[in-house]
Amino acid sequence: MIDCIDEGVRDSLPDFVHGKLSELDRATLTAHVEACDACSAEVALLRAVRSSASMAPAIDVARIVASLPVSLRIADVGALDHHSRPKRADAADAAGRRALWRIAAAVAVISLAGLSVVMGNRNESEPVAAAAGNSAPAVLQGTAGTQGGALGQQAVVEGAAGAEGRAVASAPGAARSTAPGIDQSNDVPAFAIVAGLENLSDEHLEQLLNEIDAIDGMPSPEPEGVALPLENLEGIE
Amino acid sequence: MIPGTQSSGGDTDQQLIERWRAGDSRAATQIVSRHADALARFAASSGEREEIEELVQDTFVRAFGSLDSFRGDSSLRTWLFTIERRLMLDRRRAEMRQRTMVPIESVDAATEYDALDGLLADETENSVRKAVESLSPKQREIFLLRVEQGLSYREIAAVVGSTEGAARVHYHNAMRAVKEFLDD
Repeated sequence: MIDCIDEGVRDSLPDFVHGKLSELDRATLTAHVEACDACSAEVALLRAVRSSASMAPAIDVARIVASLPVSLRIADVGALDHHSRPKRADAADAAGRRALWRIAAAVAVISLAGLSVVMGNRNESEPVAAAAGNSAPAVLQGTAGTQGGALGQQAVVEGAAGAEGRAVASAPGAARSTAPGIDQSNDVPAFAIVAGLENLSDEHLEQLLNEIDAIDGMPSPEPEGVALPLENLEGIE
Repeated sequence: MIPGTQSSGGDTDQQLIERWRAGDSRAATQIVSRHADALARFAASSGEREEIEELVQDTFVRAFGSLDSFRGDSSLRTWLFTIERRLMLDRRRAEMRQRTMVPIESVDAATEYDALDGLLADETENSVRKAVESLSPKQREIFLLRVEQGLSYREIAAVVGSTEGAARVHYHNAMRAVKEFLDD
């Protein structure tokens, strides 16, 4: 059996037998094989080899598939992730809710304490004010908010002294009281502190401390309303 | 393109692999159906006589177990041939070690594959098969990968761990040897 001298064609003959050539190459090679005895014989040999090699036993595909390892199911992993994510989110949400509740509770306690101080002091001062014949409305002076909202930055103590009306104790930096009924031109108001604590005389300071000591810190069972004149807020920083 | 790399439904091997990775077990069935017969023929033509189906099964188990390492540089069939070839080499090494310990008669025992010889009614095919069997293992392997499986020289080189040029030389030497065998 002779060989074709065209090695390129001979190299392509297995692809020709397997039908792997393009239409153009296949047509060209078909014409060559029909004209070339050597290539025609080799093509017949190649087909015989393929035919003789088809003796392999039949394969049970189902048995093989059943033995294969389970794939890493991306969809299942995604589902697991999907299920686990809400757990993490729930935990974060629960922690957030707990923190918010703590903050709310703290604010409520502080507010209640502040309200107790104010109300307690008011209850203490009213009889004195009434005894002094002063009918000036109660004044609640506040600077919270712009000062960071800290309770206790300003202590408001309604006057409990003298015929001039009442005393107002203000923390440093608080706005000067413009409560109606207070005669600010008086040299020594009974208990009007219009500047810092450092400006208090020993007498006034002692009086203020006594007033603070007298505060019981408990709210009255039915606290009365507090009038808050708008004009007084204008001076509050 | 290697025969069977694309199904009639249009899914390539790579697409089937992606489907299997996504959990589609039917993709595994398609892959096995597409390549099992070729692997069985390759095993038979490589001289395997026993438990060819087990060999094919082991090939797929190995392949699917390490499918993440398949980068798609070669065709899936070429990769499967490479795995099967390694398994056959391991099997032959194990048999070589076993032969030193077992009686010789067990090696020559008749196999179920021998019974298939009778199915070769055509004398020409029988002669061709003998001609192929006369080749050296290396020549036979490369010759059958080229003729029977239709692999390119590049793919053959990947399977047997050689070069395209060496695969081509082995093929033409094998073809010449087969022709000489048949001419005698």
